[in-house]
Amino acid sequence: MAITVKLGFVPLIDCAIPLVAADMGFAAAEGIDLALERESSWASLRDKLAFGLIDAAHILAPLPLAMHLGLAGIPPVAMAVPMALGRGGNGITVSTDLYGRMQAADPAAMERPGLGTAIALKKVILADRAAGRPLLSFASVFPFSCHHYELRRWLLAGGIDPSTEVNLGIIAPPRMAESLGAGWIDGYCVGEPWNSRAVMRGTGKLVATKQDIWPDSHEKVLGLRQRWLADNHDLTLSLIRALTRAALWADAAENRQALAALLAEPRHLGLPVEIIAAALAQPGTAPLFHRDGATLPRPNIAREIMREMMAAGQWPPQIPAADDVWRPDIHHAAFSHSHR
Amino acid sequence: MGNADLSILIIDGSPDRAAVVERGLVEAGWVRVSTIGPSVNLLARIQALAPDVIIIDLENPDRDTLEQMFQVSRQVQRPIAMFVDQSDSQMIHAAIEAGVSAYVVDGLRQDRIKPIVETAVSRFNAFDRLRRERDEAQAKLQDRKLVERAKGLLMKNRGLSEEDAYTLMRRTAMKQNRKLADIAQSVITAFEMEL
Repeated sequence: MAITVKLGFVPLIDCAIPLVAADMGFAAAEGIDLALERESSWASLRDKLAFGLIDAAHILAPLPLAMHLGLAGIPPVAMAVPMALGRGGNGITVSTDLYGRMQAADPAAMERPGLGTAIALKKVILADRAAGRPLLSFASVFPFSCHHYELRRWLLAGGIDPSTEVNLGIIAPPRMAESLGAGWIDGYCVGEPWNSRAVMRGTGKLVATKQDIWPDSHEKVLGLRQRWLADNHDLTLSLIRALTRAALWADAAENRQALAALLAEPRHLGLPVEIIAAALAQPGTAPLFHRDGATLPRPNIAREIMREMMAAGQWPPQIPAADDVWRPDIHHAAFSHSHR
Repeated sequence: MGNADLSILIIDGSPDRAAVVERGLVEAGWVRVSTIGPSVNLLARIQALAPDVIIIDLENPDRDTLEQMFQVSRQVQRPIAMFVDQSDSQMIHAAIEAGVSAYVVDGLRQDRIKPIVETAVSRFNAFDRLRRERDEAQAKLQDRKLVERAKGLLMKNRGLSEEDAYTLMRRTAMKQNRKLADIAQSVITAFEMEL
């Protein structure tokens, strides 16, 4: 008898691993009936995970740490991250209008995407200030997200103070491109396919990728309540094995077409398959699922995330024990001989 | 008892459900209720309305935008926080299950907010029940149409009486442990293939 595990996800390209595990038989092979639940916002995913309406979640890497520390707007919940669900995938896009101004201000800085493009932005900001124009507005997807910290890192690389020299806001990924097109914001940091979307429509241009800004950072992780982990230890190990095999499958070049089709389905992302396929092939913003240890949660990344939280003013200036939450030991146990 | 002074904003992707919740709140004595749908300039609209309580559906992607109101509170004059009654986790569980969440102006007393959230939860559940019942009624009507059509085909092509046609399908359904409508569909498909 297969055991049901309810796993929540937010429709983005990097939710591929649980989708593949459920659809390509990797979960079933471990005796798991993986019931996927799509969520429209990180807030709802957080609530359902915290209050036990789902067992597990494809979740922003910083969010379980924030939930554990009681920072995420709800009472603290003891959380565990026994696996990472890939790396990369994010990019920063600015409106074509702002891109033109940045290019005019500093053509050399704009030669290629990367941290250097923020130097051109600084020049635009200084010109705006001299002319008495309002601040530019940028959005990320959630306060406790790598996107937020990557946007801050990029701004800081250009000598821009994120808290005084720009407006920073939050917009859900599916709303990003339309908000940019409508002129509500001047730029954003988001996961694919929402950068490609604006670029393909001609409303935005890519100025930096996660690869440029924070290359070794995890992007999404597997989030569990510690209580659930304690009650379902062996099941968790099975789940990690199923998800890891799915990650390996998702990375393989020969599966890319099938992966794009799976992600494009109405019950998953519900977008044209060409957009997904293009985003999966896009150098710089295509996510890594298994390669280079993309599934092993590394504690040094958790510590970097907490430093970013502090820098963003989300956490009092002290480093708590990240090791309570990030559990590479569980990931290792899933592949030790006694459990294989 | 001073219900009238609290201003409540309902943000819902479903206008029908928003109307049901609004009516429920107004009937219970909260008169300052307004509703908005999905919107790209959500924060500006909320600031203009300055609600004390916000009711939002869980499927709404705007929840993440709304939450920055307690992260970046310097942008708004009235800081907003998610309503979580620490003493009653049963209630928050019921709210999430019903698909609704609430945000309140920080500092409002919990006993003033709780009945609002309870009303919203019960209205969400009632709406869900109504929708389910409507879907079921439609499915039943669809089933009945299938059975009628299959019956007609059997009468015309096999010379059965109406009663015999019905009994035949009924007996087959019981024997195969399938729904009568499924058998009817099979009958229709079989005749369609012959044609």
